[in-house]
Amino acid sequence: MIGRRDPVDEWRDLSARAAQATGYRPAKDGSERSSRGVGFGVVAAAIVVVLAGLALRPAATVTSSNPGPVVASAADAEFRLTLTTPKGTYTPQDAIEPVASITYVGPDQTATIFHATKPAQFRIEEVDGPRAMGGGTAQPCLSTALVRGTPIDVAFGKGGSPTDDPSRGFDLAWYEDPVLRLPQGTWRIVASLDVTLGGCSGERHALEVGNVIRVVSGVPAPTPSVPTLSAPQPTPLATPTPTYPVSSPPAATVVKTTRTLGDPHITLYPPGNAVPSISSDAAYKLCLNGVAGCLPQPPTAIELALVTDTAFGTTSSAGVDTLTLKKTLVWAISWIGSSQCSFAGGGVGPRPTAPPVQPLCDAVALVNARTGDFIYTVQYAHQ
Amino acid sequence: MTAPNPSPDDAFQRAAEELWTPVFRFALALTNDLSDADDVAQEAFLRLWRRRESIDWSRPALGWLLITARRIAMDRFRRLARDLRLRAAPPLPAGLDATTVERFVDLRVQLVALTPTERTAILMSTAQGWSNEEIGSALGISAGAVRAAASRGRAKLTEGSR
Repeated sequence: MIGRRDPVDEWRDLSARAAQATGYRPAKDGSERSSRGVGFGVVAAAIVVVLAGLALRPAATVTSSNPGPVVASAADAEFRLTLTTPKGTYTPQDAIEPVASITYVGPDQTATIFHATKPAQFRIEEVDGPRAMGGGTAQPCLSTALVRGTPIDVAFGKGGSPTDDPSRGFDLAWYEDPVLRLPQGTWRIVASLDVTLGGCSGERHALEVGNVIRVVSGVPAPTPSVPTLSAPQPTPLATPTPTYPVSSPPAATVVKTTRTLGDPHITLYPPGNAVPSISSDAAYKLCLNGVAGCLPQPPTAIELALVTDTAFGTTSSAGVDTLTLKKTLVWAISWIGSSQCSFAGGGVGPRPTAPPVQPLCDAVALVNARTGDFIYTVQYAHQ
Repeated sequence: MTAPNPSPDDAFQRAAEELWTPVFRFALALTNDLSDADDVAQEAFLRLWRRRESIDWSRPALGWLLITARRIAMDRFRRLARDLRLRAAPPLPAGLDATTVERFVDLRVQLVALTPTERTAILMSTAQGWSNEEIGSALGISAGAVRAAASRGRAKLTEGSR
């Protein structure tokens, strides 16, 4: 085409202009950049450090005598987090149904919070004991809109690493059961809010509250007919958890030929003779209970595969890369040609040349077929 | 008579002045996004600032900055790419004029078909005059892999311009 410059030459010119126009912007005290917040990696590191150092906040806990409910609440200038467990005492057969409520109490009419899989995460700790559930969570950047004064509820969800040692934690069957039941003992159920305002790297808010309950043998304590809560009664308005299809997933298959996904760093290989430790149904259940990031429609395929991702790993201080996924056995849950994708913004996009249409996408959720852990979901334009 | 060694603050200041352009360009080649490139480069320099007391300033800081920038970009890509997400478009870096941004929008579309490695292999040799060995060192791959990536990238660009 006449007049069209070579893109490499054009890039050389434009990158020089852009570099000249930007430049390093030192912080006032040199310790933190004030322009647009620090990068995502630093935020993630900070989250780990701060969470590790967080004690349970002194909360306006209502200590109720049996049969409950148990309520704890904590707040800062923008948010209130309330954790409600319907009873204070259960038997090992009882379903325990904690609910975390998040209320925006800041100055604006509405606020959009940015968070991981769910805006509130749960963990369980045995009081005076070693057993626990919880731990790492994927760090996507989902968003949820809140109306001031109107709480949203986040139902309890299990997350963590199964163990075969019952003295240390819970086994795979326990994690696969969507209903929360606990063995005898005294347990602390903890809900934590960890969100940002103004974007994924925006102003961070972290709150934690805990309910202590007892699980005893014998006759279950009666459920109170009219719960009396000192905290505001949650009024569900919107759920931050997408509704996933409850229909049966497609029959599981195995990847027969090596293929690279739309993200060219990710390659699926035939699994050979590798045997998964969890079933495809168990993997798909992570979609149903909201642990895995899945599209709100039945998947196209569920395949057993080995996966390598050449852009997912850690780099040592010496610059040596270690891949996290290197021929790792996974269940790959795929959606092909979906219109349900939620593409990110991500900077300057191409100039629109036609009325916007809903783009089709492909998405693949990876679940570790050995441990049952959700790894991540990647999505890209339909191939 | 030898000049006294500069203080860590002075050494950092000099690095920020002299090395911003190659680090920013490297980040831009990796991310293909002006906002992300600015964030990645800023973050790399911020980490250098935090380590200014312990770093060996007798060695060139560029290699350290590039490896750090690559690590930041990789972490950032993966974290943003994985899982379903919604986020607002980040603001553009201050100081960029509208013409530059508009031209980059068009250029970005042409370069999006290239992988970060292919873009970096082509663009950094042209824009910064780096050798395959230097680019490979920054990317953590061999010079041969850089050569191959550049070849693949050029083929894609040629194909795209037809």
